[in-house]
Amino acid sequence: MAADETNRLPGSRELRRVLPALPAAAGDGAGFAAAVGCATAEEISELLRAARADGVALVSAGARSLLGRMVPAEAGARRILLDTTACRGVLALDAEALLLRVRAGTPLPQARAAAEEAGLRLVGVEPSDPGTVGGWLATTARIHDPVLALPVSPALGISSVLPDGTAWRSITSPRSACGPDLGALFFGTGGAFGVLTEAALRLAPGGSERKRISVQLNQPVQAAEVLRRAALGPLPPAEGSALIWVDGRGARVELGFEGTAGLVEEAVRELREHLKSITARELRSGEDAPLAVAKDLPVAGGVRWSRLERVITEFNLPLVDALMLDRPEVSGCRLRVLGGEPASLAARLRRFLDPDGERGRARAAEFERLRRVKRELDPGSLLNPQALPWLEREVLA
Amino acid sequence: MLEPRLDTEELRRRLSAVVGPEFVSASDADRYAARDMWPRALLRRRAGRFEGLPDLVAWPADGAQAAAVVRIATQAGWPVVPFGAGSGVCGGALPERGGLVLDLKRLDRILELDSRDHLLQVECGAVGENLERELNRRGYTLGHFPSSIYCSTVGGWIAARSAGQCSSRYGKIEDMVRAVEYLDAAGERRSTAPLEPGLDGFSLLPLLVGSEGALCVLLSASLVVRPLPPARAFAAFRFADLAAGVTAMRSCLRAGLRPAVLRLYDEFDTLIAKTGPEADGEASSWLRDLLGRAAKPLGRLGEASLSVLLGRPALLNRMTTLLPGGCLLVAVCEGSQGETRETARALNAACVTAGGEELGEGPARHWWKNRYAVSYKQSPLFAAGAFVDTMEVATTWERVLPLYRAVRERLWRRCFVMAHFSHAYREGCSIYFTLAAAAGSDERAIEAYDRMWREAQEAVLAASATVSHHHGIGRLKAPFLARQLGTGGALHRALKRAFDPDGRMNPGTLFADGAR
Repeated sequence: MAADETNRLPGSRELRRVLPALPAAAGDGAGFAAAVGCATAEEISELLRAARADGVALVSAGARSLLGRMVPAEAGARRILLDTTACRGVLALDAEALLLRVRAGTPLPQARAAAEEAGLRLVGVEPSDPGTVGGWLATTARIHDPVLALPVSPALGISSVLPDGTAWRSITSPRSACGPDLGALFFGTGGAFGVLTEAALRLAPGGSERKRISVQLNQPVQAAEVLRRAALGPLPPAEGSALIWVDGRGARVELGFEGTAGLVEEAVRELREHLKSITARELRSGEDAPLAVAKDLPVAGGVRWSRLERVITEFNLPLVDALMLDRPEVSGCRLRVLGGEPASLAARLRRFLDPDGERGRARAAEFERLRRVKRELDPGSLLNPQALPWLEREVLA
Repeated sequence: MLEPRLDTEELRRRLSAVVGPEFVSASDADRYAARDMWPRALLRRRAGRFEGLPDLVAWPADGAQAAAVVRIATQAGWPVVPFGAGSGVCGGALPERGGLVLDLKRLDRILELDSRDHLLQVECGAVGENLERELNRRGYTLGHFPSSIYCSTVGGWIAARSAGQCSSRYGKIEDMVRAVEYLDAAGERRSTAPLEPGLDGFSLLPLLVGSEGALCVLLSASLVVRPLPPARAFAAFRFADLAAGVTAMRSCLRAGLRPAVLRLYDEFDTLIAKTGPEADGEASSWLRDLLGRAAKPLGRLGEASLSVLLGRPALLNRMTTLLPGGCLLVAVCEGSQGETRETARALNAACVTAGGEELGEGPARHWWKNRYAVSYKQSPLFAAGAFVDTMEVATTWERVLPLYRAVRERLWRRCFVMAHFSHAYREGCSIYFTLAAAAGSDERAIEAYDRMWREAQEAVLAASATVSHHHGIGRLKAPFLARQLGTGGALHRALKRAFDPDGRMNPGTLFADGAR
């Protein structure tokens, strides 16, 4: 980067030494004292050490794809933007262990393409995600495991640079019993505890058989029940979503099954048996165009099945056009709303789901504890200082 | 750590006021029983060294009492060691620095079972078998079946990140737990917000699961349960070697199958699995009998000859390589009738394709019948002057067999080694090693035990495998975990200081250096 840019950081002796050797950030660094790109963990380490020594904050960013859930890279006069997109590339694809090792700055489409080339797919990554692997992990604490129909961590191993500049590589293992899952400090925490540099992502083989079913239902609550039964069925659906209109048009459910021919057949048979009992109509080919729903629809919450019925029957505000259910699990699913002002509707629905604020208080207490951990690792809160406040605001909104 | 500011009698008086005098004890019997089953501690006690006794044991009746007990104890500067049923084998519940053992077995109530969301709210002192029976009575299962199920608690499972025998279908305990209520080091009752279905936001929960009492005391948990499976199928196969068996396991998982159980035994463990420790037989020397079978020329082995043989592990290990080849794989499938049938069919096809010879249901049914028995068959070995321990590690599929070989090679002259492969996931599986040896005296046995573990874990670390899959860390593996973590130890230390700044909670376990 240009030496004159370092002049914006008076008194920053270490940074003045380190910054000139680093290339400028790929994207816009407006508002930051400096914006640099790092291609290796060593460079990130050196930069973090220098920033810490000089008391300057450092904000890491990937593609800055600005998906709704991304932590914003807030600028500031005493802040440096660290662009990690040069730290990219697929390191290895292990088809036996179903793992893809990538650098954290790798764009998700590139990682996805590498998996697809081997006839595999990345688990938990939405087809539309345009960001980097690091950005995705920093905003994703869990993904859905279709085998268990339960959430699991999004990566089996990571490498990162801790706030003091120390590089750390975790073990890569399918499971372990080695104390607290330290990955939880990196997944979904917006980079507050380190800058991810590598990850081992889960891959899944395509099932030998695939079947997609679309169903039209007259009663909206039936849609939730269809999803619930599917999650508990012989083959949890690889995809499952429901769109429930609140204007009396009923609901539509889409389910995708993948697996051995026998299990797919069995899952479809059980589903059809249930549909028959509730007189639902299975859509024929041609009628079953995939549901088109805005990708950035705000999330109202994860809702337990037992509470969903109340949402469907009671949260029938005139402004809501439809409810979108997806990611079915054993205990519930994700809920989003479609309407004139989705964001405010989502907030209202959250209040509806947590009327006495119990959940909000528990979440606040969790963040209080997390801030303590942050203080231990990063006393000056110099690495991604915006991350925890932003996540907390999002969660408690 | 600060020095205790109250003497035992004063603390006992204060705790008695909370839980009642009959629920606080300083008796030798209660203090002796308040520890886990770490074989090293058993060896030391066999040698007459009775360290690791608490000063007091308290049994609170509920969360409020537990909170008051922790507050009083920690404010008085006493270490607090949470205790379930004591089935641990790593020294995770071993009050080496004295203090108070907080026995949670009276917190054993089912608080709620939500049949629509399949969520169970249960207190953490509930013993596994009691809980599972009650769930079965109501038509559900937790799907968590550790071999210690008769003598382990929900809290112990969560604290040590336990795995049950059906983990390939139901996951490990960390997959099932959705929220916990806990006490922090100040005795404050707190809860994590339940994980929201379908959402991916940060949760504190994974930082508390596996914390082995060193960050908090677990009071209750919300766990995912499943409907009791209406059907179950059994199958067994013989493979020419381990490599073929591992290929079969991997193929099953890769195909997206969810068998409840897949267990592959190495050649010697195959002998045991086939004949098995009889559940209804005497709790006597199963290993001796099997060693006898493996070494027929030596004739019937007495206790003394067992020790002699285990004292020459290289010879014994060499003998096992002369066993007729073949590795047994037992499989159990469960679920709806249709799923069970289809899973069994696909599993059969995968095993046969990998070279498996069908053995019918017998060996798998035999294993199922005796699946909890082996944990209770080790005492005779200790009585014979020998010792036995188990090491459960995990890695990804491509490293599984190199890890197995590396551990065996490393321990060839240190102890007798056999193993089975289980807890299969899409990405890899666990290897469960059984290690047995004997030494001339108790003191030498302790030295041999330490050496055996050092060598074993060195091999595991060198293979980049995880040092524990489901027994946890305790004192036994804390130094090795520190090495596995490397620079990540800073994260551990930060957690410990953030949750337990004065180092009161179960000091000495999990964090090798006390997180200082």
